[in-house]
Amino acid sequence: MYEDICEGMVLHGEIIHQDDEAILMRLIEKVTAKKSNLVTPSTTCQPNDLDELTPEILPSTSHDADYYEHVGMCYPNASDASWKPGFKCVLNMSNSHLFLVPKFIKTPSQNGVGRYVCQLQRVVLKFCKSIGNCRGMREFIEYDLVNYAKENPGTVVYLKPRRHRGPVICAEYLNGEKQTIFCHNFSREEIGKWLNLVKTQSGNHDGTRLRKLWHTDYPSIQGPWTPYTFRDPNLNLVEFPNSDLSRPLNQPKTATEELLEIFKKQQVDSSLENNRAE
Amino acid sequence: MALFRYSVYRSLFKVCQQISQKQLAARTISRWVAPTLRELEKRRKKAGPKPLQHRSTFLEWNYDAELYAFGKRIGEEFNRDLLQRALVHKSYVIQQEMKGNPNDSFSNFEDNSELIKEGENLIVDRIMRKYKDVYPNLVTSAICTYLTSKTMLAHVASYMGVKDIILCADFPVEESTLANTFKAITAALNQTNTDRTDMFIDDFLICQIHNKDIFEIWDVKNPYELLVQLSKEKGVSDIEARLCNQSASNTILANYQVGLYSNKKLLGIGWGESIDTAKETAALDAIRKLQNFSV
Repeated sequence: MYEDICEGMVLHGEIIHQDDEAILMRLIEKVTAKKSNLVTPSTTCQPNDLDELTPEILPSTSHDADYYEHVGMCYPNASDASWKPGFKCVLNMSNSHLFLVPKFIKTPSQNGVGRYVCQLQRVVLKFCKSIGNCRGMREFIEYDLVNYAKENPGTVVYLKPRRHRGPVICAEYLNGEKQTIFCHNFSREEIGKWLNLVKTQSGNHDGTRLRKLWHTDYPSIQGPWTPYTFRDPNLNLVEFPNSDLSRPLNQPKTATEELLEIFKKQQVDSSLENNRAE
Repeated sequence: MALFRYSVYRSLFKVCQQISQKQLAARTISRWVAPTLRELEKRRKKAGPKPLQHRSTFLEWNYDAELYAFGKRIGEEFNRDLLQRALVHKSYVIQQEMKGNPNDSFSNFEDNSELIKEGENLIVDRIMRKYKDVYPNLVTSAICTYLTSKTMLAHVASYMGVKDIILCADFPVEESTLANTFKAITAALNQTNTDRTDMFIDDFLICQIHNKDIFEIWDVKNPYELLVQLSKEKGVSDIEARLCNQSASNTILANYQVGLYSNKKLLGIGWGESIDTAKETAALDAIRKLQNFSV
């Protein structure tokens, strides 16, 4: 019994330990992701320096794209070209991730009414010149990037080589939104597809769902309902007070009325039979 | 400074990693890590959010490329110097002079104050020309005020992507600066190629009234009186208001329906919580029908 408890505790301890390590790894990744390759690493850490630490490199309560990248799950996206069959998908059961943010289809700033403006204002391709998972990105840069830039002169394309870091596409839109796509082990074609998606999007649609797949400026042609819509035209000629209209609508029939109705029906039936006989 | 911070942070975790590798047999993380992280989190909260940084301070920034892309994005050919000048605000020139570097590459150009004035005239002129013959003066001026408002111009400018390439002293860029930039760009385009100006204003600014209700743009003060006046001009007289329907009077949901007739012909119909409001709504409806508003 005692041993069981001990074992449980050890197990529990291990689980905690793994979690901590995950957090640490995440932090390290965050730190490395924020930095360019110009940084000179210093080995000592003075207590005073701790004040200088920037906030965004610490663990945030809501998991962002960095986190998805770390736990090795496919980052869900609106029009997803990256879902690979066989890629392990881990569900993160934090409350904020149970639901996607609902959105409607909309066009930014009447785009296309006058002329079409590509909403992608700049895109940064971050990659390493030697690491293996950047191969697709490097190939894309070597063979396709010039064409991409030529086809989209309205988009500024930046290249940011960094040592020993994974490939990332960082897109900035005209509405000020920024989208980060992690392209670990993506092939050249996949990179091209993602860049095409980014080019055709109007903003960062990550973590959102569309409430409707259509949009109309005129949800009702008829207009709002008023008490006078579909009113019986007979009512225009009625004189009030009116005994018929004053009666409750849901009043049940009385026994006398029902008897009278049955009697009338019998009479009609008998007259029909007489007609047939003749 | 930021780089220094990162380096400190990175080194902290390198040390941490090394230690954890050494103590692999123990399968634990050193006991100092958690309290340190906790302390860091506390200090982070105390320091508050990081101040915004201008995009031009980033490592990946090329102003020439941005300028080129701006022209291509909105589909116009600009004289480069003129475009550059349109983006330099007076506040920026003053700021550079105060800093003591008047030989800055951008200060060779004048600031855009003249272009702003010219652009404003161009825009107003274009809107007036477009709507003068279609709508009465009142409506045209209302549309003009709506479109040339600071908010609208700033909105249009920001969706053209000028926010990051404006050279001005204020950061984050203020609405008025954005609005002025749009005017200056219009003037710069006009000086480059006069034929494109009208099309540019149509495509970026005037299209903003697409799908807008006219009465969202034009606030009519006394609709009934205005209707009488407008219908006189059109030769329609003897406007008569009639109560068509009423329901739930003397309650909080009271509503009335008023129709405006002339010669037994319905001009407009409207609803309201009192007879007066219903009459005004009817007048607005009649004005809309009378003027054939399609906006």
